[in-house]
Amino acid sequence: MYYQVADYPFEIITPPNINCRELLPWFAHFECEAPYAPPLLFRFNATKTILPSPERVLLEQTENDMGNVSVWQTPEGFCIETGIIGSGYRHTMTTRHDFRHIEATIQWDDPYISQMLSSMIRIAFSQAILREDGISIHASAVLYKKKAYFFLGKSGTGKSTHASLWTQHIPGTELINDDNPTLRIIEGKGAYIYGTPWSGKTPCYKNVCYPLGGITRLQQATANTYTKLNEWDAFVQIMPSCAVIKQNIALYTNLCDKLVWISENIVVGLLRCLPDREAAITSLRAMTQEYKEINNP
Amino acid sequence: MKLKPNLQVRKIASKYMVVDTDAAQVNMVNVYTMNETAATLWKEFTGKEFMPNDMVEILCSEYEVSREQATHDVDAMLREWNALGLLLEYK
Repeated sequence: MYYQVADYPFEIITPPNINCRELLPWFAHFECEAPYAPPLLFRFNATKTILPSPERVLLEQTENDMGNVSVWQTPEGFCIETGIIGSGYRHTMTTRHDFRHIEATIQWDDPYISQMLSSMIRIAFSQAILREDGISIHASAVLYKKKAYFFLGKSGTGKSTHASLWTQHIPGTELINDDNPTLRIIEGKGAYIYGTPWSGKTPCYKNVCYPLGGITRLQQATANTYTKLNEWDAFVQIMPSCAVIKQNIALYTNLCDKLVWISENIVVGLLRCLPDREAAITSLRAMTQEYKEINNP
Repeated sequence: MKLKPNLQVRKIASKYMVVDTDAAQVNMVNVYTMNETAATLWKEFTGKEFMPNDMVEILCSEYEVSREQATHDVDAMLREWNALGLLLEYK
């Protein structure tokens, strides 16, 4: 099956008895024909049997409600294992550093197989786009007047809540993605936000693209205050929300170069906020300089 | 001594910075700011073995600065870099 996310085409190869459409229903809007050009971002071949490399070194291990992910350095590149803790199922993929050809061993009888497969493709995608002009960002993204706005924050800060405050209280606002939108810096055009098949707990899988209007990092507080960040602080505040294997110098360098561009060209702010209507109005005003029409709905 | 490997100096707006990838915590980013002179020295000595005096030589040849002042500035800068963990085999 071929898919195209953020205009990057990629291929997923599964055994003949596996129906990708059934397993990945939220990818439906991203299906495409076999592309001739541009070349594939990556090929994810899930028909392989991978033997664990004896010479692997653990780089990082993360745990969240989407499962457990271990990233290993191998002599050839990376080995990445995923699984829901306690489920007894583990899925493995290996790739060279460029994430062009991914080979995966999947335990297809895992009850969480859809979630796991989607998550593995997300990891491959998020690293492969770093060698192009993209970044995968942990954020909620909303659309307002033909521009996209990003909300960043640590898990549990209230990104989704803040996005929903926009859609509730600011007429004409729409959710683009609630967990993992893609940002592209397109040469000669600027920064664009794309919807993806990865949207966390919110079923919002839109294959859309809009220019980036601004980025706000959220922090819980007892009052609403917005601070515009200088380039330096913007860089530091965006970095933790970006998907990257930091130990790989090429991936990390690509990310840093893009973040410098964003920090110098996009309005980035920090909003200390409550989960209320005023918080949404505050971030809207700061990023769009619009006041009047939403003062008294 | 040597600079900690794999750290690139970058210009952002009017400042220079080094981003340390070696953070133990996933959500931590260590970014260090530098002035233009320090950034020039960082670029010059990336991947090389050097002694403080090598930096002093460069400062004296490229800037209007006394040897005494340059030695003082280099020593202070290297002490700071070492305290931040940016140097290997500092002595």
